[in-house]
Amino acid sequence: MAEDSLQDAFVAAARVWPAQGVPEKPSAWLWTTAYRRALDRIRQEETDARRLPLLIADSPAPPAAEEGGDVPDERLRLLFACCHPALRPDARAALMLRFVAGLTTAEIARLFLVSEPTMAARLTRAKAKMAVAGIPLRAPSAADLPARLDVVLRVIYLIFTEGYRATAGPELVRPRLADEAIRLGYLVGELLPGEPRTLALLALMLLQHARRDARVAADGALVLLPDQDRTRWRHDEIARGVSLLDLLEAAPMPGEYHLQALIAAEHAKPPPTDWPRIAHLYAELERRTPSPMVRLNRAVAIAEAGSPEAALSLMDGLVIRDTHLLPAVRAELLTRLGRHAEATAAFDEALTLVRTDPERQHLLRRRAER
Amino acid sequence: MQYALLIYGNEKAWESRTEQEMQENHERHGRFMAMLRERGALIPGGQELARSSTATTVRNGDPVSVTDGPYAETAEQIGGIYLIDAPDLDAALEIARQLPEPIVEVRPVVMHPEMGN
Repeated sequence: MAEDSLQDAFVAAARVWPAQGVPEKPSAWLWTTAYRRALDRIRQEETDARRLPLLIADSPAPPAAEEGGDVPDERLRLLFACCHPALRPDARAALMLRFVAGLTTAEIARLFLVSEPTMAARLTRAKAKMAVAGIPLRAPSAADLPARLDVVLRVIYLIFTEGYRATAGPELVRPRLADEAIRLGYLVGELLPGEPRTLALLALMLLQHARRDARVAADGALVLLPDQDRTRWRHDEIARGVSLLDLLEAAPMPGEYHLQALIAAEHAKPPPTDWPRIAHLYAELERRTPSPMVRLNRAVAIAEAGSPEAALSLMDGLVIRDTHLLPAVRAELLTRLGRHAEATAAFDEALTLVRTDPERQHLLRRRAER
Repeated sequence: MQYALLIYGNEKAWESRTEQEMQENHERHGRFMAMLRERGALIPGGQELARSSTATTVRNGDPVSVTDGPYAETAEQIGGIYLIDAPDLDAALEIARQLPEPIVEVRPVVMHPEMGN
């Protein structure tokens, strides 16, 4: 699709340039145009053409501020008002689903596993804050836009991850929530075209979500990547995510979502997995956004690339509370290095922290296998 | 809309300032107020407050209690208040960002028309 879109851009260039003259930066112009064409195409491909409600009856009343002249679109103004940094993150997500995605309060309550009155109260509190504190129904100034767009994208990714791997409730995956997040991502791409971060987030969500059917076993347990039935992946969605990434190749400096999407794209390729490349991408991600989880993932990639010792030393001093992941990975690495006594101790530590039965069974099996 | 900018800070840090640092801070506030006046955003009534160690708290229960010190004994205390006029929260936050103080709480002021504000 990236090629098609670039093709479209050249066609557009052939039409526009003779009349308007060649723009100052032809490659940047081509890139932006290709990006827009790609989004247009994706929209056409979307079978779910549920209309996004533009104006809702109970939307918060705009404060008596003057109109923000440069951004006429009501949805854009709602988007930024709902994602105002002065609101709590959970309220932002609820407001987005209610007023931008147009879900009912009951639907949102079900998605977040709270009662309808609880969700109604959360929305009412947030709307009261918007009205009383004077949160403007207006797109941010050009100077504030990059930071405010970051908040919008973070809210969307929060909605997505809650659907991708639920932190609570009986289901591990709630695809509907992830669907809504992807739809919101498209909307942002449509309203604010030419933003590589939006495109990167969309690619990331598409690539991860494409594995949804293979991620849960018949008994409801989570299936890890290497054990997934790849025929159950949505390969059309993977192709779409990869196309978006191809389009981003011309973009400057990959950001956080871009790097994560590149990693997801590597995992979506048929085996053998290119672990050295994944390790490199994680190193780059750690440089951008250092966190213990990123470090752990990087260590795993380095181990898989053939250097368990380097991986182990990378994990020295790492602390990740309340999860069995760290000792479990350490146990596996120590096993590979033949340090069995230490490995057993690490397995035991992991077993005291593990919370789900399938994962406990997995650890017990691995400890016995050695 | 009207907003109160509540300035919070560590009192120990405020007290340990040198004469010159206090003078510089005073000048920064002077420039901040001049900026507010120029925009027509300054509402009279804001003040610097004396240290919380000089506060007295009255609890109007039964019996009434009068105790030495601020209501909440926290490391950060309110050190002063500005009242400003701003079209919306974004404008108020933009003004708050220009205050030469570490923590600023932006609170909307409730308007009571019958009281003339």
